[in-house]
Amino acid sequence: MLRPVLGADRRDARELPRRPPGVSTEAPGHGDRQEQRREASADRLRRALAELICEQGYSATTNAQIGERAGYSRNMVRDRYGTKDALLLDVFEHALTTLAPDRGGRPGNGRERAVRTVDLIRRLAETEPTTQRALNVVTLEGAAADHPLAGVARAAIDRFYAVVAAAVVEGIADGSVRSDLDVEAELQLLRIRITGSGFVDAARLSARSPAERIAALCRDLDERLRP
Amino acid sequence: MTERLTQAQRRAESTERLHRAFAELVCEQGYVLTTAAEIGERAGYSRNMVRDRFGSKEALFFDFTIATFLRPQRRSAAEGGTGLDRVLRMVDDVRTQAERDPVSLRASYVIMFESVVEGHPLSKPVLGGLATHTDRRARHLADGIADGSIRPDLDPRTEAELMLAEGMGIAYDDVVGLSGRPLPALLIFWRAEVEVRLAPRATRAGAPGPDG
Repeated sequence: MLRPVLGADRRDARELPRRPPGVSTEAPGHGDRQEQRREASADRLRRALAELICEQGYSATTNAQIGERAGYSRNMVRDRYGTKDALLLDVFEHALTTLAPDRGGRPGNGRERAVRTVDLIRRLAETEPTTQRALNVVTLEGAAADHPLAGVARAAIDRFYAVVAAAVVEGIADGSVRSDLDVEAELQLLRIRITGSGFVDAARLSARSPAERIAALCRDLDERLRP
Repeated sequence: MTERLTQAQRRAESTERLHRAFAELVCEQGYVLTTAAEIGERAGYSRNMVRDRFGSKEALFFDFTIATFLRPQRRSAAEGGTGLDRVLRMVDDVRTQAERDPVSLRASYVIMFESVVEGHPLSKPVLGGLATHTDRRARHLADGIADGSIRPDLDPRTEAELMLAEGMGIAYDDVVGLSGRPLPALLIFWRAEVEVRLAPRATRAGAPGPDG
């Protein structure tokens, strides 16, 4: 659902292919075992990058370090993904698609779907805390205008809030969200709370865990949307 | 008049130009990727100017921070009024800064964001400064609860952390341009939200908090 774009214009983010070449799940003519091995090695590379981002940031991390941390050669990232940026895109993509809000249908009303979408961040924080922290760090590290990471987080954030906004509007239509809600103002508040929470967590400025903080924001969102 | 500048005036002017060049370059490419030589050249001086004047890029950062933020804040006499007044004044101080010098403010935001990276040279002072700022806000909130200007069922620490998150979310919006709204407008929006949230029950617009 969320496909962040590296190096794209920050106001006109174009989509890139979902997966970089070399990690296709549709390689024809090969057995399941080879496919499993490919997925396992992609997983180890994603984990290695996430760990290294948490330890030293994205800019300071090299392809060789990622390959070695994952238990492969120094050339593994280049061979499989071409560039570190392509691997980072896969980390974003993988984290967010495996947690897609409406897999297997769209149960619940609009308000519930809006809250459930935000709750994905809490689930990511609980199931993959290293990945969640790494995504926060990358988002902040690349905030400067001409930074090579500019556009990555922006594209992901725009997509995420488009999903929440659609659910809120559906909620007004189905009666689960109060009809006098200022949707734009509510989303603005939600966005500053969540992006700012990412900073507070990455900077370790709160005694509460990221999951606790997002859970509190979800409860508050539910209250604010109720008729 | 072609009066020659005194040495003190020349020094003040070059400091101002170095601060400006520093802020611009940090906004463009971040603190880590900006070199002392680039700052000197952007300011119209030699590549060695930052080193000659300040000793290092880090020393320039501290000089910039004191001149841009700490001195003006001290002048705002933040201790008067009710607890609520003081909490809101912290928001207003940022808006004053956003209107007076948006580039310097944005540069400081970029540095705050970068400093979450492990091993960032400014992590300790920058994140320590934010922790102090949050402690002060929690004290103002507690004072406001005691003097009746803030609703009594709030936990000052939780609210101070929420306000820190919201403030940093606004900073991120400003740096990345998420909403396209200018920073002063975002701060006015936020202040109104905070004012409603903190008001004692009797004067609130009927909206109960998430826990009550």
